[in-house]
Amino acid sequence: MINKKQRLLINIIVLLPFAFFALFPIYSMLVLSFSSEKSLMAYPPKIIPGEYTLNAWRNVFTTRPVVKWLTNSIILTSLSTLISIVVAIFAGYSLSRYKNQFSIGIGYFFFATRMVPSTLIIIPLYILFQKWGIINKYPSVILAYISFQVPFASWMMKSFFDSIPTSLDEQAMVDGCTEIGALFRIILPLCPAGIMACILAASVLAWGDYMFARTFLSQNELLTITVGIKTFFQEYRFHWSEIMASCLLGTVPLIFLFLLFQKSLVKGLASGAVKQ
Amino acid sequence: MVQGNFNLVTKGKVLELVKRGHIKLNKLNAKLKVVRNNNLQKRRRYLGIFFLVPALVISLLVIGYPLLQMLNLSFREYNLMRPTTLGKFIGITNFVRAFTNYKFRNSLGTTLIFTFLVTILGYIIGLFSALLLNSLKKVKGFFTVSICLPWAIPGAIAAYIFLQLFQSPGGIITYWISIIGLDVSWITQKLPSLFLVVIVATWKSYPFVTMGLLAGLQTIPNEIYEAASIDGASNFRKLFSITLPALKPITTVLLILNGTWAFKNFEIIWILTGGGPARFTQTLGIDLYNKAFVNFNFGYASSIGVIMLIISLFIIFLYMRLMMKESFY
Repeated sequence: MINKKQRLLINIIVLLPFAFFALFPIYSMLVLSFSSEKSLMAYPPKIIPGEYTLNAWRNVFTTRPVVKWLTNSIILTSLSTLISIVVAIFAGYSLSRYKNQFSIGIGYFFFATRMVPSTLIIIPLYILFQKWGIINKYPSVILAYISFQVPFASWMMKSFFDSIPTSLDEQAMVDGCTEIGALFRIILPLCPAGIMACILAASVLAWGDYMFARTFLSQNELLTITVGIKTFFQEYRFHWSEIMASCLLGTVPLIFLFLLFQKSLVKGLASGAVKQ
Repeated sequence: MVQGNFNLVTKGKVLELVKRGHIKLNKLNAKLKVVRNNNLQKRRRYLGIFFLVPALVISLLVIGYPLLQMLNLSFREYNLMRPTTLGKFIGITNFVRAFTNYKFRNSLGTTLIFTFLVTILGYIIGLFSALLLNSLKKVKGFFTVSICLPWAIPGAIAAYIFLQLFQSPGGIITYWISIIGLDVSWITQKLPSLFLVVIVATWKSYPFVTMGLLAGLQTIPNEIYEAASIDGASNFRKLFSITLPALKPITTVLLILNGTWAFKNFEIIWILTGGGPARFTQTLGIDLYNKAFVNFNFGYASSIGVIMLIISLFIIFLYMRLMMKESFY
C-alpha cells in the first residue's frame, strides 16, 4: 500500500502544477524585465530567454517619472492606511465592547459596504471632489481609499477584539484604568498579529487600486504606479520588457510587506473570518 | 458597607437586596455609589459612541452620501455632452433606456457569467490547494507562500503581465496552447477573451479562498478523522462527510466575498480587454465606467449603478439569511 513517504511525494507532485500556475506569471515578469528586445521577438518563445540586458530598466527610469509614481503610491497608501487603521481601532473597540442595537446595526453596515462596488460611489465622489477642487490632488484619492479601508478594517478589528475576553479590560478599569488606557495597554498588545494583518490587507487594497487613481488623477506626475504603467501602452509598439520592469517595481514593495507579515496574516484571517 | 462589583449592580438591584434585608447599608453612601455608577455607565456609553463617530462620519461621507447622490442622479439627465439639460429630472427614463438597450442586457448577462465562473473556479482551485497544503508538514511554508503570492500582486499588474503572456504573436502561453492545437487570438476573439478574463480574475482571487479554507481546515480536530478511519471510512467519504460540512460556514463567507469581488472588479477586465471585442467581456462595472468617464453621461451611468446596487443588496440579503440559518447550529 502507499506509505506515508510516498503519499507525501504524490501530494507534492499534485501541488506542483498549482504552484506553477501561481508562480509562472511572477517569474515571467522577473525574467522578461531583464530580457532584450531580440529575445522577446524570438519565435517560439522560450521559458528561459536567451539574451539579458539592463536596457529596459534604463529606459523605464529615463522615459517615465517612475520614481514619482512610486513615491505617489507609497505616500497615498501609507497616509490612507494610517488614517484608516487609527479610525478602525477606535471603531472596532466600540463595536466590540459597547454592544447595543445601534452598534450591531453599524457593524452590519460596515460589513455590507464591503460588498458594495466602488464603481457605485465613484461618480458622485468625482462630482463632489470637483466641487471641492481636490481632483488631481492627493486628498481626493486618500478619501477614496479610506472609503473602502475604514469599514473593512473596523470589521476586522472588531473580530480581533471580540476574541479578547472583556473581563481583562474590566479588571483593568476596576483598577483605575480609563477606557482608552484599557484599549492601548491591554487589548492592542494582545493582538499584534491581527493588527498587522489588518494593516497589510488595507495596504494591499490601497496600493493595488486602479480605478480611483485613474479617475481622480490625470497629471502624469501624480499617477500611482499601477496607473502609470498603462501609459506604456499608449505607444505604437509595446516595449514589453519595460512594461515588465515597471510592473516589478510596482510589485516589490507589496511582496516585501507580504513576506514580512505572512505568518500573522494567516492567523489573522483565521480568527477574523471564522468567528462571525 | 456594601461590597462587590458595582459595575454590574444597578440601583434597582441594590434596593431589592436592601428590602430583602440581605444587606444593611449606609443609605447615603449607597445612593452616592449608585449615582456614581449610573454616571459611569452613561459616560461609558457616550465614550462608546464617541469612539465610533470618526468611522461613522467617514462612512456616511464617502459611502452613504455618494450612494444617495447616485440614486438621485439616476433619475436625472446629467450628461456633460448636453449641458442644457444638466440635472433635469426625468424619472425612470434612464432605466428604460438601459433595459431597452441590448448592449446593457448583454452586460448584465456577461456580468453574471463572469462572476459565477470566477467564484466557482476560484473556490474549486482554492479548495484543492487548501486540502493539499493542509497535509504537508515540511515544505508547507514554501508551497503556501508560492500559492498565495498572487494575492499580493495588484490586479492591474496581474492584468499587464497576463496581457504579455497571452499576446497573440509573441506570448508564451499563446504558444503553448497553439501546440495543443488551439491557435487563438486571445484579445480579439470573443470566447477566448472571456476565457482570458476569467483566468486572470481566478488567478488573482483563489489565494484568498486557499488562505481562508486552510485556516478553516486547521480548526477540524484530527481525532474526527481518526475515528472515521477506525469506522472504516474511505478518504472520499471523509472528505464529503467531515471536511466539507465542517467548512460550510467559512465556505459561505468566502463564496460571498469572492463573488462580490468578482462582481465589482473593474481593472482586470478594463486593462485586458477594455470591454472585449464588441463589448463581449463588458460587465456592468465596465459599462458604468465607460458611460460615466468616456461618454460623460453621468445620469445614465448612475442608473446602471442603481441596478448594480440592487443586485448587491440582494446578495447581502442572501448572505444575511444564510448567516441567520447558520447561527442555529
